[in-house]
Amino acid sequence: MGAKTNEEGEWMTMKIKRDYPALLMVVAALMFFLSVAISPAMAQTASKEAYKIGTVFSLTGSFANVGSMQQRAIALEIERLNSKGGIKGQRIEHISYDDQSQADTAGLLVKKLAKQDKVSVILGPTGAWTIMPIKPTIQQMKIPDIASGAITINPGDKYLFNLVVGVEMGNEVYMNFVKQRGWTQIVSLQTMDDVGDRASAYLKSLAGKYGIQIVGEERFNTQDKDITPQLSKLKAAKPQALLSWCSGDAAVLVYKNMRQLGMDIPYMPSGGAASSRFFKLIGDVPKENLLFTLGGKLQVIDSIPDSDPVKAAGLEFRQMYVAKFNAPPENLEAVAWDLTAMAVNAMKAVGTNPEKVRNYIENIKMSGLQANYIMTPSDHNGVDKNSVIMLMGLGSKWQVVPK
Amino acid sequence: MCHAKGHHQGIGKVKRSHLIGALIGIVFVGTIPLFIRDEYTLGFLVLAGIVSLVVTGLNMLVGHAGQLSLGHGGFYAIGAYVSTLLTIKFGFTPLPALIIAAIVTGLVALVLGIPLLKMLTQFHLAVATLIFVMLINALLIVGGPWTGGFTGIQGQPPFSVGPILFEGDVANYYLVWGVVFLGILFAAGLSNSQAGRILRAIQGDETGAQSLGIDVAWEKVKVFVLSAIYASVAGTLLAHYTGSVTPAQFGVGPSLEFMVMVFLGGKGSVIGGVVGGSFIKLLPQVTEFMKNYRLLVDGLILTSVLLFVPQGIVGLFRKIWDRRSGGQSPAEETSLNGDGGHPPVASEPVGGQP
Amino acid sequence: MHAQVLQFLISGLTLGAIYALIAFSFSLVFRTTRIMNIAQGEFSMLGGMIAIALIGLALPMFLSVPAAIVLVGLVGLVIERLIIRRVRTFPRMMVIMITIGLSMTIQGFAVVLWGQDSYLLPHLLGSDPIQVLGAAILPQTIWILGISGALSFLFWFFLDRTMLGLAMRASAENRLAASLVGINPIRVVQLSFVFGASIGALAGVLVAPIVFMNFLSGVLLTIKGIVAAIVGGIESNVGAVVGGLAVGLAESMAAGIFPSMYKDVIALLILLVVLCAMPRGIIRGSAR
Repeated sequence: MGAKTNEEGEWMTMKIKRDYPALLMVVAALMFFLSVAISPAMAQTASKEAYKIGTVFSLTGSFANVGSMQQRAIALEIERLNSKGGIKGQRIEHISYDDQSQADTAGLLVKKLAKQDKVSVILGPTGAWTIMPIKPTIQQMKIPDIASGAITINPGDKYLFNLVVGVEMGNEVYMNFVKQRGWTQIVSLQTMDDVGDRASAYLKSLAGKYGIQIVGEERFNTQDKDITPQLSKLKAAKPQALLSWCSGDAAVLVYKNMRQLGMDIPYMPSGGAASSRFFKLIGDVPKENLLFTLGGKLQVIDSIPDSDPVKAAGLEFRQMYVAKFNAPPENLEAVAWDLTAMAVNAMKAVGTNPEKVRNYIENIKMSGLQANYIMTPSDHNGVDKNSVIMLMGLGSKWQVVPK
Repeated sequence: MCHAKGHHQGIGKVKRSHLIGALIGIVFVGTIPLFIRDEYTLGFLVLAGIVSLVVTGLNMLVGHAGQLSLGHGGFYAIGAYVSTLLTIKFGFTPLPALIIAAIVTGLVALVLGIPLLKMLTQFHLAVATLIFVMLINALLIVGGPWTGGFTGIQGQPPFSVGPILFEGDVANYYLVWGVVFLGILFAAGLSNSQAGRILRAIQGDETGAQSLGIDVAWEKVKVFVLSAIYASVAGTLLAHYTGSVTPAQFGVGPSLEFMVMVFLGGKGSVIGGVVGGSFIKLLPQVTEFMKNYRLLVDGLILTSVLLFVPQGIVGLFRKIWDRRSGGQSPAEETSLNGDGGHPPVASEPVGGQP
Repeated sequence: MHAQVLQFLISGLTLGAIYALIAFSFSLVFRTTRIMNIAQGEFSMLGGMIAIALIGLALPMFLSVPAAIVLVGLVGLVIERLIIRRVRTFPRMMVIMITIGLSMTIQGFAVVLWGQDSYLLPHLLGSDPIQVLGAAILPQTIWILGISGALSFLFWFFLDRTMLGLAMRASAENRLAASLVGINPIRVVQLSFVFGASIGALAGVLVAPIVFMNFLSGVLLTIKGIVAAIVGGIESNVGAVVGGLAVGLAESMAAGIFPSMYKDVIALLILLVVLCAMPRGIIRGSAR
C-alpha cells in the first residue's frame, strides 16, 4: 500500500499520460463528428434575390412512403416550372430536407431553412404527427409554411397553412351524400388519433342536423393488423353505410375486413385513400355502391373544362410524372402540386420576403389540382367545398358520381 | 475502508489527471457555441446532450448494477409529459415542475422496480421493461384531453430558474450540458463510493454479494430509480426546449436506442453516455446524404462498432492507452472512466480491509 | 352476440398463431444459444417481402413461398457465420445490442431493395371467407392455425425425442459438457439459427396476405414474438404456442369487450400482470 516517492512520482506521470490523452482522444473524435456534421451546413448559398422554396418531408423512417411521394412531386413540378423559365426568368431553387420521421429533426430543419438557407416559404411536412410539433418553431421563425396534413389551424397560427381537405369538410360532403342517397343509419369507425377524434366529434354534431342516426361507433389503431372485432360489433348494429376517415394501409385493411365479414354496405374512407395503389391492394370492387371517396381534379383532369387555368399545367405535369416515375399522379401528388403552385404564385406576385409571401397566401384565390382554394385570415385551409368531387369505386377504377 | 494514502494527488478522492481531463472537457464543451453559430447544428447538440443525460443515468443501471432496461423511454416520457401538464395546465413554473416530474417518475420506478428487479432472469426483466414502455406509449395515445393523444401537446414555456430564462439554442445548450455535467459528476461520485462498489459486487456475483449481507434487491431498485430520475429530467428539458411532446418520441425505438448508446459509449463508463448519445444522435446527420442507403449504412456502422469494440468507444481508448503505458491495471481505480466492465478486484472486499 | 364472441376468438387465434410461430423461432434460438435475438422479426419480414418480390417476378406461388423460406434460411446461415460465431464470448447484453444493430441493417437492406412502400401477398388458397356459426374465417387463418399446430408438435417431438434435438438442448445448457460427449456446439448453433430464420420466414409468408409488409414490419412482430415467448414460458416446449395465443387473444378480446380505444392499454396491462405473477410463464417449463 505504501509507495515510495519515486514510484509514486513515476506512477503519477504514467497516470496522467494514460487518462488525460484518453479523454483527449474522445474529445478529438467528438470534434471530428461535429466538423463533419457542420460542414454541409457551412456550405451555403449566398444568392440574394434567388427564389427559394424549402421542403421538409419524411423521406426515410416510418412515415416515409407518403412523404417521399409528395416531395418528389414537388421536385418535379419545380423542374417543370424552371424549364419554362422559372419565375420571371429566374430559376426556382428547391432545398429539400428529410426529417427522418422524427419530430425533433423536423423542428430543427425548419430553423435551418428559415435562418440559414433563407427560403421564402416552406412546404410540408405531411401528417399531423410532424406538423404539430413544428408549429411553435414556424411561429418563432416567422416563416410561412404550407403543410399537407389534417391539422387544426387556430386563429393564432398566422404562419401555418394547410391544403388537405379538412376532416370536417370531408365528412360534411359525405353526410350530404348519405342524405342524398336516403340512408338513415350509419356507423363510424375512426382512428385513435387527433384526426379520428375530430371526425368522430364532427359526425356526431352533423347527425342531428341531417337527420341521420349513428348507430355504432368504434376506434382503431392505424397499426392494427386486424379490425374484425370492431367491425363485427358495428355489423351487429345493421348500418347502411360506414364512414371511416382513414387512409393508406389502414383504409385498405378496413375494406378487406369488411369483405371478410360480409359487410356489403358503402364504405367511405378519407380523400387520401383514392389511389390506384388502393385498388391494387384491395382487388376489384365487385359491384356498385360499395366504395366511395373524395377526389380531386387531377384524377378526372381530362374531363374538366378547358377554361380552368389549371388544366394545361396539370396535363403537362401528369405527362412528366408518368414518364419519370412510371405511375399516375394521384391525390397526394395533386396536393403537393397545389402546395408548389401556391408558393410560386405568391413569390411571383410579391417577391422573396417571407412576410409578404405569407400575407399574399393568406388572401389567395387559386385553382388547384386537388381543389380550388379561397384563403382568408380566418381560414388557412381555404378549400372550396364545391370543387371537391365525389368518386365511386367500381372494378379497378374510380368514376365520378353524377350529382 | 483503507485508501492507499499518497497513491495519488489531487483534491480529496479525485485524481489530478481526472481533474485535468474534466477541465479540458468543460472548456471544450463550453466553447463550442462560440465556434458553431448555426442554430441547426447547435440544436442537434442540445438534443445530443439531452439524450446523453438519459444514457448516463441508464449506464449506472447497466454498467454498475448490471441490469437491463429496454423501457427507459417510459421514464423519459413521464418526465416530459408531467412537466408539460404542470406548466401548461396548472401554471407551474418550470423548475418546480421539473422536480415534481422527477419525483413522480421516481415513484413510478420504485413501484415498478420492486417486482421487476426480482425477475428471474435478465430476459424477463428486458421483456417486462419493454411492456412497460409500450404501456406508457399506449396510455399517451389514448390519453385524449390529458395527453393530447397522437399529436401530443405543444406550447411548453422555455425552461427557467427563477428570473433566468433559457430560451433559444445557445441558452439551452448551456443549460442541458450543464445538467449533463452535474449528472456525470454525480455518477462519478457514485462510482467511486461505497455504493458504487456494492453495485459492482452485485454485478459480479449476486449470490456472493447477498451472502456478504448486501440487500441485493433493494440496491438494484435504488439504482433503477436513480436512472429513471435522470431520464425524467432529460424529458423535462426536452419538452421545454422543443416546445412539443408527442408519443412517437418516447416509444420502443428510443428505448432500444438508449441501450445501444450505453454499449456504444462504453458500459460502465461515466462519460460513455455522452459519447454513445452524441454518436448515435449525430450519425444520421453525417450519413444523411446517403438518402435511401442511410438506414443500411447506419445499421452497418452500428453493428460493426458494437462487434469490434465491445467495450465501447471509451473502453477502447482506455485499452489503447493502458497498453501504451505499460499495461498496468490500477488496483483501486474506480475512475471517471468507470470500471463497470470489470468484475470487482479481489483485493477489494466490500465492507473493509483486513 | 355469440357470433361476435366467436369472431373475436377467431381474430385472436389468427394473429395469435402468427405470434406463436415467431415465438417458436425466437425460443428455438434462445433455448439452444441463450441469445435473445431482437432481429428475429426481421426474418419474418424478409420471408414475406422476398415471397412478394418473387411473385412480382412472375414466379408461381408454390415456388415463391418455399424459395423465400430457403433464402431466409440462408440469410440466417450467413448471419450465424459472420456474427453469431464471433460473439460467443461476449456478455449477453452486448449480444442483444448487436442483434439490435443487425435488425437495423436488415431493415436498411429492405429499404434499398424494395423501398418504403407496403405490400400484400396473394392468399395461399383463395380469399373468400368461410362462414362458421355466424363468424367469418379466412382460409388463410386455417393454414396458419394448422401449420402452427403441426410445427408445435414437431418442435416438441424434435427437442424432446430426437437425438439432434436433445443434443441441441444439451449444448445450450452446458456447452463444455456437451462438446465432451461429442456434440459439436458450433453445428448446433448454426442449425438452430437456420431453423429459427426459416420458421420466422414461414411466419412472414403466412401472415403476408393478411397484414401489410414493409421494411418496418419486423419490429412489431419481434416485440410481439418475444413477449409471447416469455409470457408463455420460454423454457417450455408448448410455451411459445400458449404465449402467442395468449397475446393474440388478449388483444382481440380487449378490442371486442372494452371500448376499442383502450385495446392496447388493456392488452399490455394483462400481459404485464401475467408476467409479474407467473414469471416462469403460463406453462411451467421443465427446467427448474
